[in-house]
Amino acid sequence: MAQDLFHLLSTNELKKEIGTLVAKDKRTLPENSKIFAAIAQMQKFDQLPDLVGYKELNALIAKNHTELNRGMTATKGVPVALYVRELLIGAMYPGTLSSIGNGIYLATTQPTELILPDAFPRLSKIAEKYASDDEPGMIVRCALKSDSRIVEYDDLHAFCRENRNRAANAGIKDFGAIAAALGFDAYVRENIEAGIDEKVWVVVNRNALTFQREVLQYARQVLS
Amino acid sequence: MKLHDRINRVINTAAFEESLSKSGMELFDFQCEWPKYSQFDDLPEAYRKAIEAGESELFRTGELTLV
Repeated sequence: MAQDLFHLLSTNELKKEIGTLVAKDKRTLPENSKIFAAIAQMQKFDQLPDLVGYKELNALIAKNHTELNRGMTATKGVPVALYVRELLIGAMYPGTLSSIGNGIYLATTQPTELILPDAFPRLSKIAEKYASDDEPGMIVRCALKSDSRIVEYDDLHAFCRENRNRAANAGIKDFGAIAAALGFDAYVRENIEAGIDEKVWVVVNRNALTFQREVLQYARQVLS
Repeated sequence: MKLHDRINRVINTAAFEESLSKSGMELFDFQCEWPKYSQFDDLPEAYRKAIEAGESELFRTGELTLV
C-alpha cells in the first residue's frame, strides 16, 4: 500500500532518496520524468500490471473496475508494438509528454461501430485519435482496479498547494509526481479534448491497472 | 498545431520552467490550469510567455527550425 511520502519522510530524506535513484537512472529523460520514475519506484508503482484475456477483463469491468483505453502510434522510428509491449510487460517508462503531469494517459470508453463485441465492446474516441495521428497505431484496453486511490484534478491541485513547500524543497514539481508521492494511484479530469465527452485519466501506478492481452491494431478506415 | 501538442513540446525546456517561476508559479499550477483554456490566445499572459520562452529555447538549440 502506497503512503504519503511527504509525511512519511522528512523533506531531506525524501530529497536524498529521490536524488540517489535519479543518479542511478541512466536513461535519456527530462529531469522531471526521472524524478517521477524515482517516486514510482519508492511507491512500488513501477511493478508489472496484471495481464488477462478479454473474458477476464470483461468480468472485472462488470465488477466496477473502470474500463479505459490508450491509443498509441510509432514515433521517431520506434515501432508502436514496442511501446505497447513495454507498457504491458516491460520496464515502466515515464515518458516525456507530460502536459498534465507524468503518468500513463488513458481515457474512458464509449459505444463504438467497430465489430469486435467481445474484446473491444466500447472504444475511446480520444484513444482512436492518438492511434491514428500519423500512421495506423494500436489501442490497448485495460481496467483500473476498483479499490484504486483516485483523486479529481482540482482536488489534486489543492493537495499540491497544501504541500507546495515540501514538494519544492524535495525538488518535486510535476503534477503526476506529486500525485504519486501523495500515494494516489490515478487522477482524473473531464473533457480535456474539445468535443469529446470522455474523462482523461492519468494513472501513476501501473500496478493499479489490469491490461487485456488482445490489442487492437487500429486504422481510421476501419470506421469509414 | 493544437495547444496540447504545443505544450508537450516545451514542457521539459529549462526556459519554460524558469519563465513560470519568474511569474511565481510552479509547474504543477500550469499543468492543472491550462486545460481550462482551449486556445493559446485565451491563456493567462504568464502561461503564454512561458510557452514562448520554451519555444525560443527550442529554436536556439536547433530542435525547432522555421521553414
